[in-house]
Amino acid sequence: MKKIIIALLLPIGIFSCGEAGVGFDAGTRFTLPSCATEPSFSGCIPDIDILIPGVPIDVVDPVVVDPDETSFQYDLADIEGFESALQELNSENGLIFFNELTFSLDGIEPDEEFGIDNISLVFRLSGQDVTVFVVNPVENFTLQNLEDRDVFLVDETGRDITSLIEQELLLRQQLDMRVIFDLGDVSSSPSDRNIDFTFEPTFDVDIRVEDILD
Amino acid sequence: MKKILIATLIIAPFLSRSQYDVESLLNGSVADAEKILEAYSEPIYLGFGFGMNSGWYNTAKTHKLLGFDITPTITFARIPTDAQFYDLNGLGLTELIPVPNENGSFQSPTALGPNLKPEDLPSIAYEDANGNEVRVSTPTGIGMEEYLDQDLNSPIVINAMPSAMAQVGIGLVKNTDVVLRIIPKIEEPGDYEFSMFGLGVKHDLKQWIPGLSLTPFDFAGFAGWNKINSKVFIDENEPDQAVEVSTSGFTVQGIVSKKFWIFTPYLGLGFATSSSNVNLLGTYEIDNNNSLTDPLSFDASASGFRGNLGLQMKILILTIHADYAIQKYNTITLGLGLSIR
Repeated sequence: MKKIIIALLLPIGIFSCGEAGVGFDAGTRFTLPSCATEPSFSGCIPDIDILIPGVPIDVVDPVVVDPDETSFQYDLADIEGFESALQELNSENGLIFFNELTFSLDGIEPDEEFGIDNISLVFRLSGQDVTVFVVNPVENFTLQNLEDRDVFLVDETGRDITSLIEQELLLRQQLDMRVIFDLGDVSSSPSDRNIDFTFEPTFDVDIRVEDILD
Repeated sequence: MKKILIATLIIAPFLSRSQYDVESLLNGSVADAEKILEAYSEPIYLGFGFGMNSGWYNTAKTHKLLGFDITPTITFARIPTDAQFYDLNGLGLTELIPVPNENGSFQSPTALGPNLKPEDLPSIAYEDANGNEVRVSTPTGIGMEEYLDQDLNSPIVINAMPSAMAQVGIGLVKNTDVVLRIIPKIEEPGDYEFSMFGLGVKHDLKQWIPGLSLTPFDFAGFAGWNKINSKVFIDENEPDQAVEVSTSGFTVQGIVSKKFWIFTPYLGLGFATSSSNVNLLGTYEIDNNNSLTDPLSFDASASGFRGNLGLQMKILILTIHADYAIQKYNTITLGLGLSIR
């Protein structure tokens, strides 16, 4: 947006600036959509598909259900509001603020509301996996539809991870993630069943470009 | 970064074309974008317009027949304190949502306001076509006072819009001077276009008022109109994209002066107006399916009383003058010229 300002100043031939320079913040609250709803979107997330094996499951000696793991990528270049900022952003004059991460779950039928042990997010940061377990991911540890559930990154560990995420975004302008749904005990059934639902994370990120004319 | 660059339009295009980008602003709301840009840039255009109203004269005395003067001037239009900020929340935005800065303030600097860091600027927010929230901070001011004070260590620190003029005054019949300011259209294809025309008339009024001709003062009436048209092309790959600005100033004055040896103090009282029209021309794609043509247009205008006090010093044919004008944007004018007859 700041570029138009330069264009407006030029016709009368004045331009100057002080210590702060010509900088700006651009931010978005951006939801990575499900591929089922946005088939043309390159950054979409495949549906979560968990196989519940068709065997009796003993509550005393439960069968382990393989967790479903879905990989996806948050890419700043996919975000319309960042087009201008990314042209100016570099590690010398830029900062990234990873403000918040929330997620929504949709498409879970009433008979699919199984127990769940945890939901974890695995960020690929500086070539290493960093896992964050979502605190109290669902009500009563039961898989259910959710809207805008916060992934709290506010404690010391969370802040460290946030800082690493910001560095990763500043360097690569994209973030590779995996989400892992680890179900708990499930009720017995004579045949295999699939739970198919969507996971949509929403990222609230600001890009600060401190001096576009330096 | 510390730098200042005050240039004429002629050298303005040295700034990189890659720094221009307008689509992201237009994505939000064209009508609201106009309000923000008008509030942001108004002091520049008003300052420039009131600056153009200065320097027309440095004495009430008119030339003898075919006498003439050539007088370049430079004027600084002081930016009023209340023109250094605008209230983002008070603009009446209908689609863009004002977001306060980290201190909860919606005050945003105008172009000639202070140079603030992004965290000190309020933002605007809107929802893009995909339903995602987008936030962009408002533009910062250029921080002229800060630069003069801290970087140049200037003894005079004023926040002012500079402008420069050159004019020719010619004496005609009946103690009437015609003053011309003309720059024919100059252009660098694909870069810029610029032209200026100004016409002023100074007429001795003493001759028409019985008894006044006996007084030891010169007394004249003056009317001057000046217009500058400029156009700067934004993107060399998009030849229709340009910012076009037309700025005009008009003033009517009564002038009194009295010569003492080589010094001539003068006083002017009257009325002045300044108006600018700014147009963003060209076709801009705002997303994959939509585009806008000539999307922005806004005006900046003001008018009111103008009074000025100045002093001319004339040594043979050389004149030096300075004056201070009180008007909506007060101006300081300095001039150096040649005056014959």
